[in-house]
Amino acid sequence: MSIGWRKRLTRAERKIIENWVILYYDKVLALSLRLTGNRDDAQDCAQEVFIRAWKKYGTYRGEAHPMAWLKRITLNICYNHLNRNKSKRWDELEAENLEGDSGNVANMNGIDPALLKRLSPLERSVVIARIYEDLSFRMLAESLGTTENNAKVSYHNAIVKLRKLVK
Amino acid sequence: MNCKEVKILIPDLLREPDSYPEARAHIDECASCRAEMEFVEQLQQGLRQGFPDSSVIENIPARIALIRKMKIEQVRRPLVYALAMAALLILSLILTPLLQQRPESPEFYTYYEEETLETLLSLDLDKGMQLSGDEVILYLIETEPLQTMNELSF
Repeated sequence: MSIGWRKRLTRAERKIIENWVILYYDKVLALSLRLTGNRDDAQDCAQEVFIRAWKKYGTYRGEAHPMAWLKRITLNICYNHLNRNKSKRWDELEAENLEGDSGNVANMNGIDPALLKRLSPLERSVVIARIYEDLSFRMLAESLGTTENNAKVSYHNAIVKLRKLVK
Repeated sequence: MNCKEVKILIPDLLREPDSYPEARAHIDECASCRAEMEFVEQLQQGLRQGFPDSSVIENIPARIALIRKMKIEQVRRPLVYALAMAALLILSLILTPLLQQRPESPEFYTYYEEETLETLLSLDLDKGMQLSGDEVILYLIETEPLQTMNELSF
């Protein structure tokens, strides 16, 4: 398609993506919520993920698990979203997610994830993709439009920052 | 393996403890890496509790709405291309005759300028006196009314 016309999906291909919405919407939304920190943004991003998957289905070769491909798209969309909306990032985190859905923050055994709001969008995306999602540095670097080395440095810096905050 | 190399592998070791035996051996002996592994594990737990998967289960209508939106997108994009192409075609049909009919630069301006220069050169003006463009035209109208008026009304 040299003149930029997007190939129309076949009926079978459309059906596959519709099934993905049914199967993986929750997972994509959960990852979006972890990355963006608020529910409205997460829902917008999750929708955008499937729209992009629909548009870019031609680039999916079926080598990876669909969810792995969707995770990479999610990471890219949420990272761009965070960069565009730096001022309001993670504003609703504590109110909506920590207290509302999972009970009192004080009852948590792990480290308060609200600390992640102190990180830059790149650092936060790398940390979440690494420690919560099964993404390698190479894959997440591709998704975030950076180098593998830069992703490793960002991860290291993020952990150092978080450890200082917890002390 | 050194600490730097091991620390970036900690998330992989938490997922699959036997994935990197050399890194695992290093952690067993290194207090700094062990402390970092505990920290990352706690952060992982915090994220899991802060954002449990069950908290974001969307109902079926939301998914159906998304599928509908994707279908609209599928239809809308080619329609937008077609409309854009149609608009371009119409514009080119309108503009082509207009561009072809554009008048060439009027000859009388050149003639008028030449005449003005000649007239100015032939003027018997006092030294230091300067005329504006309008004054020159008025002068021409006064001195050679018929010829100049014809040219101006051309």
